[in-house]
Order: sequence, then structure tokens, then C-alpha cells
Amino acid sequence: METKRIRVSRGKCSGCRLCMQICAISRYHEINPQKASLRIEAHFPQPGLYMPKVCVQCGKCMEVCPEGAIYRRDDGAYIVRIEDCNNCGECIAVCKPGVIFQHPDVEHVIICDNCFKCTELCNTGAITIVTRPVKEST
Amino acid sequence: MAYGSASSRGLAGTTLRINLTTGEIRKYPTDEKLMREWFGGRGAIAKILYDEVPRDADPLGPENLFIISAGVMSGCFIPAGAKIGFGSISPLTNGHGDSNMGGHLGPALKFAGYDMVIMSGISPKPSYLFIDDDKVELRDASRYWGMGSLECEPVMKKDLGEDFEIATIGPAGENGIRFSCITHDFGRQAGRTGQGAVMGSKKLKAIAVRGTGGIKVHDLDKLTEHVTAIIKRTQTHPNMAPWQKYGTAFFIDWSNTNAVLPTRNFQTTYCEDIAGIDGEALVEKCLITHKACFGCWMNCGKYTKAVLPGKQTVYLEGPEYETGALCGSNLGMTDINQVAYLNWLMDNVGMDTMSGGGVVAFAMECFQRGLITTDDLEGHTLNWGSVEDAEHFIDMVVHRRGIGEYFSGGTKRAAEKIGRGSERFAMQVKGQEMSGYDGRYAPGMLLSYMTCDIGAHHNRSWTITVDMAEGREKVEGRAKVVIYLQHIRPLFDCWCICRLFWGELDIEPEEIVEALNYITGWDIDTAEAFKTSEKIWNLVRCHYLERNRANGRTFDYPPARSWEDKIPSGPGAGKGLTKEQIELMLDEYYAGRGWDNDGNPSREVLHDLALDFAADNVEKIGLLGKPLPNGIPAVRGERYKPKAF
Repeated sequence: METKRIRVSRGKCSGCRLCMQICAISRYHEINPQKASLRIEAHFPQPGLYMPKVCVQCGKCMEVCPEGAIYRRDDGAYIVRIEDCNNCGECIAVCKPGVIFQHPDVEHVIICDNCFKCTELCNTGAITIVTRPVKEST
Repeated sequence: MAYGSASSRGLAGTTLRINLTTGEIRKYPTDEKLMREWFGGRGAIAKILYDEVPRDADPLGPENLFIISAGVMSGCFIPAGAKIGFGSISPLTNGHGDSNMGGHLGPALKFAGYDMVIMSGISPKPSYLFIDDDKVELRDASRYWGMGSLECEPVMKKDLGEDFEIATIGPAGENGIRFSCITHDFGRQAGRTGQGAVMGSKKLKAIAVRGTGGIKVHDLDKLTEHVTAIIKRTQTHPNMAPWQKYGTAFFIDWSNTNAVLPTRNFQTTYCEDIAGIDGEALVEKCLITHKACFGCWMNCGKYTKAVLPGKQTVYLEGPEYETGALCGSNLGMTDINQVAYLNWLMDNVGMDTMSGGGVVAFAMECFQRGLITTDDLEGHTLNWGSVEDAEHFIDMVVHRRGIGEYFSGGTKRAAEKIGRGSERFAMQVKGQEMSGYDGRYAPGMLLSYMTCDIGAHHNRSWTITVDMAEGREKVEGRAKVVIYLQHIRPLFDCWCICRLFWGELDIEPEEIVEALNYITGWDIDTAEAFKTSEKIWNLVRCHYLERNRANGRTFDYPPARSWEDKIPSGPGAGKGLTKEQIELMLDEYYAGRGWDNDGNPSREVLHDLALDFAADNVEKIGLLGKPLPNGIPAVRGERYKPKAF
């Protein structure tokens, strides 16, 4: 058993946002970076740094969801059961990296589902996949 | 929500027309026929300027239009689909002017729902254009007026929100300096043709855009598959790594080795101190982070800081190649921190580093030759390699103090004032300063400048590798390559995508047109694309003739240094061109385009390009080209695959 998530290498991102484009295309079949489930924070003019913000799979969103609409999949991703999500946004308030989103066109919250399309197109190595074995409970 | 029309493909759907004098803002469905026939971006700008701006309108007056166009591909899932075009009658050339920049503004405009913004009139007070999806307002910019471009952007972001994309002008634009630029994303510029001066004349300090909508395309699945394959294929291209590491600054050393690097106002083409200012020095001494435009995997932007004794530490993007050449070797600078500081200075005051570098270099040569003295310079000197001198002189220009007024109109106007033979080394064509390549040992490059539709600029045609491949002292045959490049390269400015990946990563024009068809649902091939580009080129030529009223050939000559002076030093020592060779290149160029030998388009060609209306107009002023005895050339331009940008 192993889990996967996105790893960010600080200082490598150049802010192109191809990751956000392919994310929204892949999940919502639309060219609209605002529907992506990650963001690139730009810190300019100083210090001059792009910082990808991605799901760290902390699970806080699942804990606070009043509808029980978020569950943890075996690969580590926190998945929104869209038929149960009422878009209340309580998960957004507790998400430390700030990567749960709402969009006027989407009836549920948007959370990374571990498809990793973003990492495939990242050409600077800023976001990659990290795999971790899951300890079997005895 | 974004305002766009659901029926359009690749387009956001809405065009804004804004009367800055009255403050009236109107929304129209984007003219899809105009987009299809003129390809948006530069093409749509060219057609609107031709149709709507009176021929005697002052470029800095209310009748000039200021047009923003994001084209049909910007913001779409396409490599480097990040550009935005700006257009107006150029205060530098008095002809059609367009200039574009990368960053994130073009996509943001389309995500907000707009393909174009067409502005007329002059705002009664400093204002900025605020666009937040369907909310469009002209807002008071009094508190930003006077701020430097780079200083203004973070202040506006703080006021409006970090997620707004901002473009600003600086004091140069506000003061009508004719080579002022527009700055965005902390160092991306639409630098050429003085678009910043036009914004300033309209009292428009800035544009702020936030868009949350999407862009509908014709076939997203095929587009995604096609583009993903291109990106993955080119990730390992041998040019990718140096491009990512150095950006265009990689070519500083290359140009020096190959005897085209302008040095001390194009007096020579070889810089002895190249190691101090080349791409390696930039990365080693100044680099903070690589910086990409929206959707581009090449990240050629270099975000840097400049540290100079006695100066504040400054943060900027660059210097890229053109600034490195024109504010580096061309000013006799020997340290990359000097170049970066001047880059920041010009960015912040809001003047084009290319024309700005050319203007300072011209003034330095005037000082070298005693044509201007310390008496003209408020007691200062203006020596090669002095940042202090350059900084003081730039301040005189930006605030039009004393002799600074002469230079505020660019080198051509300054030379007319200074006289005494200075015209021969005012390195410009049609009023716009040359890019960072000397054409004396690269004749195709010189022809590119001479015939460029917006004044001397490398963006329309760059031939140095052709010159090298075919013999650098030979001028015959250059015209057909220049014509081809003048057709393909401006297409990127129509579609509002970057062209660098085409030359650098072996992406074929057919692949780009395929993506265009997936985005728009059009069914065009490269032949039609080239012909549309040729149509735009000819319309812009007619427009130039109609505004400037003389045979085209009159305007197509470079300064006399180009044939009077041989290159004095370096690997190109002793090389140069004769006036006869320059005339021959023009003869071939006009014949290749189907223009007469006076450089005026003939009716045959204009009719073939569906430009009969323009033929009628130039005929009325006696500038229609004479009939062509052998008919129009079957092929206008010979296809050529570039080896570099």
C-alpha cells in the first residue's frame, strides 16, 4: 500500500500556471484556471518567488465537513462526494494551504483528486509526485 | 460572472468601446468576421486603425485610438498563449503602431469576457480602466499619476487585490516621451512604437483586470491532446535547458562572437568586456528566479536584482537580450549590474529599453563628438560606461528639461535638432530605433529593419542565421527570406501567442495552425494564414503612405552609417555594405512583394489581397504603385526555417 501526493520544490516554480490550466481542463473540461484545485502564489516585487499551493492531505476538510461529504481514498486523496456536498465552505476555512475553492459555475467545493496531470506538464520540477508507503496497522 | 458570449469559440465574446472624453463605456458582441478575416491582435488593430483614425490625426491627440486586443489564441491552452497586443498610430513613426507583451494580462482580459478594448478621446483627469468580470469602470487615478511603473503595480495590487493583473505607464508616458512603454507583471513590456505615450496622452495611467470566466474552444479534447503532446515532446529538446537557464540573454555572447552586437551606438559590433554583461554574468550575479508567461514552459523571463555601490538595490525582470545589448554594450557598460540598473530605471520611468538604449547611445556619441557638451547637460558629462551620466540624462529626457526635450521624440527628431552630421549615426528607420543587432555584416537583418512596417524592429524578421548560412557579404536573395519572415512572424502577434518556441523548439507552423483550428473551429491552412498576414502587411504599408505622403522607398533607408562606415573592430572588422548593395536589396524586396520600384504597392497585389479599398485610397494621393509589367510574383517570400529566434 502507498499514498501519493504532490510535492512542491521551493524556488523552482516560474509561475506559468500550465498546472492550473490542465487541472481545470481535466476535471471540468474547460479552459478556466479559476476551476483548478491548486494555485500559484506570486510574491513580487520582493522577494521574487512563485509558490505553488497544493493539497497536503492533512484531512482537516474531512473532519469539519458537516455533511460527511469528504472521504479519504486509499491513495491519500480527499474526495468530495458531490451529491452530498452543499457547498457550505466550512472546509475552506480550515484548509491551511488554501487550496479548496468555490466557483460560481460549480455546485460543490473543488479539492485536488490526485490525478497528477499538473505534474506531467510542469517543466521546472516545481511540482512532482511523492509516494509514501502506508504502515499496515498490526 | 464573465460577460462573454457562449457562441464564440476561442473568443471571449465581447468588445468594449470606451470614450475617454465622456466616460461612456459600451459593450458589443465581438465582430467575429473581423477576427476571422484579420486574425485579431495586430491584424484587427491594423484594420480598425485604418478604418477609423483620420489621416491627419495627431498620434498624441484625441482622435487617435488606443486599442487593446487579446487575439484568438491568448488564454487558450496553447504554448505561450499569453500575449496581449496594443495598437494606435505611433507617435514615434506616425504610422500604424502595434506592440505586444506577455505575462498574464491577455488571458485575464479574455477570462473576464473581453477580446478587445477600443478607446478614443482624452480623459479629463488621470484615470485607469478597471475590469472585474462584467464590471467595467473608468476610475480616478490621481493618486497613481506620477508613480513609476514598477512602483505603481504593487500599490494597485494592494488596493485592488493580488489577483488583479495590472498594466501601467510611468512618468515617461505621462510626459509624452514618444518611446514610452507599457509595463505589466513587474517587468513585462509592450515597448515599441510608443504605446505608453499614447496611453499617457489619453490620461490613462493603468489597466487593471480580473477575470474568473472560462474560454470556450471548438474542440477541447483534440486541442488538449495536441498541445500536451507538443509540450511533452519539447521538454527534452536540446534548446530547452539553455533557454530555461539564460532566456534570451544567452545570445549576448553569441551576437558578439558573430559580429552583430551593437557597441557604443553601433560604432562597432564587438564588445571587449562581454564576460561582464553576458547571460552567464546575469545568472551568476543577478538572478533571483525564473519567470514565465501564462502557459509557457520555457520560462525565459529572469527576475533579478541589481546591486550597485551608491544606488538602491532594485528588483526587475531582465535584462533580456535586447536590453542587454542596447543598454549594455551599446552604452559601453561592462558590468551586468550596471545594465540591470539601467533596465530597472527605464522600466520604472516607463520608457522602452530598446529605443531608450538607442537614444542614450546616440546622445553619448553626440557627446563623444562634441555635438553636445556639459553646458547642454546641466554640467554633467555623458560618457560611455557611466551609469551616473546615463541616469542624469534619462532624467532630463523624462522631464523634458533643456536638451532632454530634443531627445524626447527619439533619435530621428533629436538628430534633426542637433544636425551637424548627427543624422548619419541616428540608428533608426522611420523614427524607431534599431533593435540589438548591427546589420552591416548581416545584410538581411539590415533589410529587415529598413522594411519593417513599424520602423526598425527585429520582431518582424530576424535573418542573421540566414545571412550566416548564405554568405554574409552577399545581398542577393535576402529579400525573399525577409518577406517570408515578415509574413510568419507577425502571425504570432495576430494570434497573441509568443513566437519564440517556433524557432527554438522546432514546432512547425502547421502544428500551430492545427491548434488554431481546434480553438476556433476555422478550417485554415498555413497558406491562408500567410496570405492574411501579407494582407495586413500591405494594409499597414498603405496606411503609412497615406499618413506620410511620399513614395514608400523614401522611408526605407537606414542611417548613412550603415553604408559609409566599415566595422572597425572584432571578428567583423573591415566588413560593411555599399549604398548600391542597399539599393539592390530594396529593388529585390519591392519586386518580391509585387510593389513598384518606388516602394508603393501595386493595384494587382492589393486586389489579390482583397484590399481594393486601400488601392483606391493610395491612388487618390498619387501613391499607388505602377502596374507590374510581369504581373504579381507567384510566390511572395520563400519559406525558410530559422535556426534561432
